[in-house]
Amino acid sequence: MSIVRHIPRILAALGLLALIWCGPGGLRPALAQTPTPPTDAQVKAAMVYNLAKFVEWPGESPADGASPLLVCWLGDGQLSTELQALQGKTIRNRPIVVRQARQPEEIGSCQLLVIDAAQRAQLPAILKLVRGSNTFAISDMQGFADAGGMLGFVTEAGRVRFEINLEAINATSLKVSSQVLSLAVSVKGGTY
Amino acid sequence: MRTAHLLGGSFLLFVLVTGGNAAASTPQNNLFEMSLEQLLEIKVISVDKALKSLEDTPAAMYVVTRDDIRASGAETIADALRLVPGLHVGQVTASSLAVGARGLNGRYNNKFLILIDGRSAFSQLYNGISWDAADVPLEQIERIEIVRGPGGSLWESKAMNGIVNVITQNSRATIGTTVQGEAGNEHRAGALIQHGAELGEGVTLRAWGAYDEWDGLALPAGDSVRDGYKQERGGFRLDWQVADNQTFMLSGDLFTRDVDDSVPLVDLTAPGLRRLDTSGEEHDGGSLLGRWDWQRGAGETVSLQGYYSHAKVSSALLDYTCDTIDVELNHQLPVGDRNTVNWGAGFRYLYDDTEGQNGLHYDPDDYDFKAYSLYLQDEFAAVPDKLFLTFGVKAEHNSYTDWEFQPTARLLWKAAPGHNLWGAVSRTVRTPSRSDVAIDMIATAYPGFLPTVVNALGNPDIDAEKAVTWEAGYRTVPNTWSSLDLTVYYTRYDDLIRNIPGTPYRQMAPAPPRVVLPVLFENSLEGDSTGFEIALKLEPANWWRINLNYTWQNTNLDEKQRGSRASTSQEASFPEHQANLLANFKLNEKWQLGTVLRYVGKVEESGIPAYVEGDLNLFWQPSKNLDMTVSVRNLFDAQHPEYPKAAFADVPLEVERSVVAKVTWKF
Repeated sequence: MSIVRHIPRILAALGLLALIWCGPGGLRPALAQTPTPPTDAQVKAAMVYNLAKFVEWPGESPADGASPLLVCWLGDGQLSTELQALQGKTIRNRPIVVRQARQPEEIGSCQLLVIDAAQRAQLPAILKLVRGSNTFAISDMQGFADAGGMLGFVTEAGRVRFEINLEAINATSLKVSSQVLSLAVSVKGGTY
Repeated sequence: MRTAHLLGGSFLLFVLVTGGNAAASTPQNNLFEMSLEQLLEIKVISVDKALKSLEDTPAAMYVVTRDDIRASGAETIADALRLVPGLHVGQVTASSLAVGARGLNGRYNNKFLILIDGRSAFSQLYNGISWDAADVPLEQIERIEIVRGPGGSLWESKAMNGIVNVITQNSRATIGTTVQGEAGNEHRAGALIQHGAELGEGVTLRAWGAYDEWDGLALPAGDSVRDGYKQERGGFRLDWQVADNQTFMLSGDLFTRDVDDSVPLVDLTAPGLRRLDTSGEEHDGGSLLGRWDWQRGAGETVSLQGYYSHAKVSSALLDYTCDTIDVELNHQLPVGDRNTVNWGAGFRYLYDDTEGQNGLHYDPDDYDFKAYSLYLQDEFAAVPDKLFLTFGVKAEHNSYTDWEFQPTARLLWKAAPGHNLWGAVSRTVRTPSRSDVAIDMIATAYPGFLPTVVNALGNPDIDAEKAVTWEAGYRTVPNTWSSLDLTVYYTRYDDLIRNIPGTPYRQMAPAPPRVVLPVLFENSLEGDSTGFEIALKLEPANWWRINLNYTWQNTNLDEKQRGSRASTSQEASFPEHQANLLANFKLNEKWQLGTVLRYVGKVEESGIPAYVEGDLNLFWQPSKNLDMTVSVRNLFDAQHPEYPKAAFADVPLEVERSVVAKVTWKF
């Protein structure tokens, strides 16, 4: 087979390509490269921050600088820990306040509610409280969007993605940008 | 030539050593500065303890993802397995393949197992994989998990050298309609229609039907051989989210396959003692599989699986039906702070009814096979989060060899974040199959003063084959865009089954008179196998992905009694070196290019020369619903041989260069 003779050359070419990749600057895009890979909880927390930019709460006016954006968390897991990093950041000039939702009555006053995956057993009760309010409910428990939650994180091939339940969102006065909907891995209930 | 060798090798080495340090060091805060699109692309490390990730498995596991299957242009599951380190895939005829791992292979390889969602595609009668039972539309595959080496105890199934589990997509992921059509010169025609719908709260169903037509391989001179096939298949999968922590899955399929084949039958009245039969074969079958999974919380899981499968084959040599019932229970629970106990029980019942002709029959004609198995395994955290020791044993009682024990001991050392070392020693057993025990077949005949007839005879007293495997591996995920997986192994085989010529005798009646040379199945081989496997995954850019694999092995089998090297042992028909490269380029939003380079070394035992082949696949997605592919496979040579048809066949058939176009429409 004449091709077999070319194998050393192919190897050399690969080595060369690899060197180009590995060299200064290289072909790596300007994505932040962390020394150790981020955990899924860290990426999810960053996504919560980003997603909040695309959600419009009723009664929000452009000049509404003072009133804080309340991000509440429920549960005791990794995601809740990472969420603390949002404290003090701003979205549309509104400072973010991160607080644990200890009492069920508090949930109604939160703009964003992030529910830990371990809270699975309480899900029906939580959803009942969220319904009728204008709280955007996010969680990373399995099947959250299917169960009626607004946005559920899923992990696919080592990457964090999200599913959206449009029916749940439309039942409130919240407005979610279609940009977010197009990035979702699945949108349940309705077209956009 | 040598310098290019060294140059290439040293560059690669340099890359591996320094690659991990090429990343710039930036604080985690940068995540908050990224856009949503950027965040969606980041690869994360899961800290979910309940899921055993690939990195934490103390075994030689490899995963072929849906993306890999697509980028490689694979048209069958066997195509997808070509790119797995440690495996050797050789096309024998258009409808059958020799797929093996770790040094042993054969047209009917009994040391390798393929499961579809847990249902076995192994044929007890043929003593190898039933390729029709393993034929699941690639469009529905979520991923393929391959474990090279002993699967006897850690996973509840028996396979000495390797086990493949093809996992299909949950029907929740395939809501809507998919219509797919393919046409080419080898894959003449292919059509798939699939429809998924939500039936109710948490219940989804996918139903599908497919038709395929494949052309035959070619003779060395280039003439086509009549060994193509046509097949119709259909099936369904139902998934029910019973409760938050309970799921139920039901899947079923039916198939019928019409295979063209030219089989040389022994006919003592024919000139040359051979008669070519071209009537072909018809395979029919189906299965029904149900599985219930329950996550009781705190790391405890229970699963119960049961399936029924039916196979029916009509051919010139054999008409048979085979029914299988298999039930398995698996329970995993943490005990105390440091132990995770995993135990299970299984029951398997097989009934086959054979009607041989033209020199083949089974004695007895039909058989009830039963096997009961029990396994127990404990994973102990010797150093919490750092060092894990696993001890397990599987006890099985089967109709042929009574009790068999398969113990295993494994170790996982999470030396540093992103660096895992594992080691294992396991004893595995391959229980005999129907053919080993009960076959009575006129395999071939030689002319002479009196014709000599070779009569293969099964051995009812045969023992199971045994192997002890020592393995070690190193896995590193130094950053989010590369991973390296190294495995080294040594296997000692004993009591391998081989056909031993017995004492010839004269048989005067029935006419014509002949000399019969009995060839008996005996546990007469022993030997060893050494090898290593390297799997490198790189993602140098968002649009560029590489999988690079290399396999080396050396297998020696010897006759136990005589201590001499076993000659022409088809089982040791495995190349010494193999390497493959899969490179996927996302050219832009709509265009993608997948390229494959495959090198398979020569196999002395079967006289198949080494070959290098390449595949080129171009993907175009003009819209979200439409996907078009054009593939050229086996680009470099018009045709090349991969695996001989039989030990005493004249010439191996050759795989031809092929072109195929595919259109997929989803709505």
